[in-house]
Amino acid sequence: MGVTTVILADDHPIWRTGVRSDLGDGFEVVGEAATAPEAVALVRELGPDLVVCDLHMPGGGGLAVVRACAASTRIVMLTVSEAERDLLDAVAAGAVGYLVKSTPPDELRTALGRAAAGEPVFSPSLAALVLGEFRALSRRAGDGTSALTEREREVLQLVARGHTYKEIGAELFIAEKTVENHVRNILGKLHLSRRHELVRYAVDHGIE
Amino acid sequence: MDRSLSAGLAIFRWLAWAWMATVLVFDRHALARPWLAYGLVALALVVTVGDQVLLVRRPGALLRPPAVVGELACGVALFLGGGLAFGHGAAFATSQSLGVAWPLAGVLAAGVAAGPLAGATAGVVVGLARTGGAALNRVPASQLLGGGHLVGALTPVVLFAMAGGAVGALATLVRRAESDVAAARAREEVARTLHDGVLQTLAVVERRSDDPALAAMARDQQRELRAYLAGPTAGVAAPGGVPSDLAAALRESAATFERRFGGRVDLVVAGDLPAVPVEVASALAGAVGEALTNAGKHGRADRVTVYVEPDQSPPPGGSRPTLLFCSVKDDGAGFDPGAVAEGIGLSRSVRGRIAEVGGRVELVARPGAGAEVRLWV
Repeated sequence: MGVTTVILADDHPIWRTGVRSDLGDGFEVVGEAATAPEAVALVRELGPDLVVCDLHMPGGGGLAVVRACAASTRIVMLTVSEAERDLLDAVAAGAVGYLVKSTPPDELRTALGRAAAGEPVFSPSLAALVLGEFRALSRRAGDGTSALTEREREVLQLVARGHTYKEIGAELFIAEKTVENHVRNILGKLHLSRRHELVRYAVDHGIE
Repeated sequence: MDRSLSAGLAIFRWLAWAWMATVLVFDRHALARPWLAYGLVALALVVTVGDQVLLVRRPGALLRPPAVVGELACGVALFLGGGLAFGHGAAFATSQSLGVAWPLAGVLAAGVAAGPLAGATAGVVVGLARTGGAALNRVPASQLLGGGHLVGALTPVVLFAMAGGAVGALATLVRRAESDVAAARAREEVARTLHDGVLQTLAVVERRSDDPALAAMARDQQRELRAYLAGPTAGVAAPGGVPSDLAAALRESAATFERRFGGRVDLVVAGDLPAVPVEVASALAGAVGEALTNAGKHGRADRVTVYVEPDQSPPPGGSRPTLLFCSVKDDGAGFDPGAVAEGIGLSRSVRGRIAEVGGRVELVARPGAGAEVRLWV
């Protein structure tokens, strides 16, 4: 595989410079944006392999970028805040991963490499956030049923506990690829459940 | 706020108009000039409807001088015209006048629109109009409110002026409180932006510093600031504040580990922890502290993840249901839990604390593959 082309979107220039120098070989930063509309325009123009995007940016934030571009490229959210609705929305809208900004450079490189290859990149805190979301959903359903299968819940919880996909595979006696597929399915379910929530909200509030 | 006050005034105007019309129906026999009375009531209706239309279309215009002055003029006309419409001596003394309450709407509007002084002034004007109406009707001064000439003539003036002044003062007060709230909100927004900048900078310091102590300090401060920003209700729905104490205790343990061993702790605490008894929370925090110390001292771990969630797993046969599940996983040297001394030591200190509150402990470790302590309390 050749060099991975990247667009960096962050309203703090110090961050773009920092991430750019951390990426090193194997990545080429083809564009930088400070606002969501700038990022969307750049992605449309340059068609990068990967977009590394701050959650909070002028012009709609990372969520706007994900909504506009998730179908055409892979987007990783990079942010300082760990527990936010916006983040769940961004992931549900199709971001392939989320990393905290304090992630050390070597880990960042590895994670972005995996994201560029299409692997969902989940940090433990994001996994915990998604788990909490499904718990809330099943509480609201009232009958104790969860949208997640027991196996999916197990996988997600192990991610939240800091296990790598490889370790999870060993723990559950399944292949690493299977773990990845479970994570992808969980993302799909999150996406669906958020859509259902929106529809229910619209119906309840008489919005057509 | 102006909008809701205007809406309140509109309701007042309708009620006052209905009362005026009712009075007219009952007192029609006392009218000397019926056409004038009906005309005035129709005029008041036109103003009432017009103000209602304004309220829907351009609510701001209701509190502008043209609308307020128009309304006051209509009120004055009602009082003066009422004096002429009724037979001599009939208005104010033996029956109600046309004005009744409707003219008060203009006084109140003037107070809301331009403050206490304007409200009081409008009250004086309308009050004088009432006295003027009585004079036009040739009501004997002795029959006016009160006994003496001057007092009787001035009483309505004082009442209307007080009403306009009081409403004006209130509206000014509410408006000031409202702008204070808006200012506080704006300050909060600025603070959020500032905090975001500080977090960004701390993260840069953490990532780019070669000095592990400095990096740990930056990390520590980020964690504190994030916890502060998340607020005391960070996902804690239950009262009692125990889970947030637990989170604070875990943050402290994580910071201690980072200062002592230079590694990194990812603290992952679910947002929907149930409230737990204080002794359970402190036993768990103590056990996590022990597990972290062990991961640093014996495992020489660089990365540890501490995870806490509400426990949902069915308890194994016979044991009681538990509230929380917690795991402490490291990437250190690992050990053979059955054979090695530190395994037993860890086991004793952690198990002791957890057993005291009726919890369970599992230890999973292999040489070369790190260790995980699992706790249910």
